Amino acid sequence: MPSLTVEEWLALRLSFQVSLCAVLVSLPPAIAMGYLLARWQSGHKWLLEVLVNLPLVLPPVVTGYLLLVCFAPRGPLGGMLESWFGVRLVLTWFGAAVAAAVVSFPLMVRAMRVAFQAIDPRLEMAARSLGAGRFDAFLSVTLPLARSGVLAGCVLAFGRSLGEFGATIMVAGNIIGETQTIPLAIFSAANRGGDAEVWRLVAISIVLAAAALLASEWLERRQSSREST
Amino acid sequence: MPATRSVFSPTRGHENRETFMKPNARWVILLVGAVICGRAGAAEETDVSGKLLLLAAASTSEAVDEIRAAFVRLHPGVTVRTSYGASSTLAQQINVGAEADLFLSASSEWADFLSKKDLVQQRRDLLSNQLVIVVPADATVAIQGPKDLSQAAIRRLALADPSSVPAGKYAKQALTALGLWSQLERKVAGAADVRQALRFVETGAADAGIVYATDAAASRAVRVAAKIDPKLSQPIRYPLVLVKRGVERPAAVALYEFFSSPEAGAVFRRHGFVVLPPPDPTQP
Repeated sequence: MPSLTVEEWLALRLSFQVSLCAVLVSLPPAIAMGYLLARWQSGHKWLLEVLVNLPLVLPPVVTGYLLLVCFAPRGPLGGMLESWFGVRLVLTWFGAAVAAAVVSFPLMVRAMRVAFQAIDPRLEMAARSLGAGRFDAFLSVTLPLARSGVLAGCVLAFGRSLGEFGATIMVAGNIIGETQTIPLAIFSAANRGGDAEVWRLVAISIVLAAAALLASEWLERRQSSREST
Repeated sequence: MPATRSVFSPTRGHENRETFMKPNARWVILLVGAVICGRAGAAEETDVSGKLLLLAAASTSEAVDEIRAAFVRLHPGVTVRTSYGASSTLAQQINVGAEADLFLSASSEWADFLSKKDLVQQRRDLLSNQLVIVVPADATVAIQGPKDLSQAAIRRLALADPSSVPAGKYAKQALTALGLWSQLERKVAGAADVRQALRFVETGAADAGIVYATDAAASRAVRVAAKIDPKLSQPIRYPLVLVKRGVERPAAVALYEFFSSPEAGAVFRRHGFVVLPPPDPTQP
């Protein structure tokens, strides 16, 4: 990539920073949720499933608007975050990360749930019969066995986060070097009518998205081949 | 085509920003420049300083980028960050408490919204725009005025969504005033914003479109066939708002005033905007 401008480099770096943070934020709850959905048998499970998958089908602008209202510095939740932790979401890069985390959460949970479902619960029972606690059995037996699936979920969520636009522009705005990720840079460049610039950024987006998809595909395949042996 | 998006570009204000790039010759030159400018600025005791956030309608981004750079050259102690988006989104962000200093809206509606929320310290109508009928640059249809849009050769007419986007609303008002809306309505392709309506015409997906003169000026793939009489719609206004924040911000006031300067006016005019005269104090 010989002729990227400063603005484009900043957008590229920020996209990685935001997506990585989004994955780290959603990883623990996604593991818990994926495991819960894989193991929990109940008539009320559908309710949880709908809630988890909602961001997948909601227009990201709606998700963004809800986040904006919930985490408004003047609002109750946003005010609490700021006075307790000094964290601000509106028009900050962390806000972009949270928006990306929420939008990509269903994809992450989905991949992990499939991986957990494929693991024989009797392995866990065996561990517990040997004296391991529930949590211990999960950490030392189930999670290691599902690691490729967990990783695949992370990569998929990372890829989705890289492409997040609708919720991000609502919550985090479009500030160069602070919240302007690649999709937002494309939006701005298209508004300026800078065709060459748009094409460069579009090419980067396609390469990154394809790489994330290939990586998650490969990891998922590795997971299923491990299960069959 | 903006040819000045490179590292060299004097129109971007990055020289004060930390970056991850390894320093190369360009950066050294820029940094030296920045230091010299910074020294010069420090010599003026009265100069303002601080970090400002300017929210502006996406359609003004090219002109605002240039004006911001000019302002920062005059006041090296000030960092101006910009965020471009739909006026409605920007107004919502200010409403929920985003720490924005200035807001350039593409319609009065969103400045009024902030006025009602008591978030406006000062405002003025800065710019206006002109609606024009555009056709693909190589089109052969003859269009002298809005009436010619009803001919059969025009199968699709691109507008920004007339129900929500200001440019589309104004266009609908003008066509309705001319008694043309009822026959043209079926041909209308509503776009998410003016730039998308312009793309429809550029690509030939629409045979004609109604967009702002500023958008038409930014494209070589369309030509302006006719202008729409501004008296046919409500006035097109771009209000500039100094956001009320409850603290003294001399730098924000300086930037607010700079937008009314002849220098800023020249930039806006070059991008096709109509620059409105400062408000007359003798009129209410």
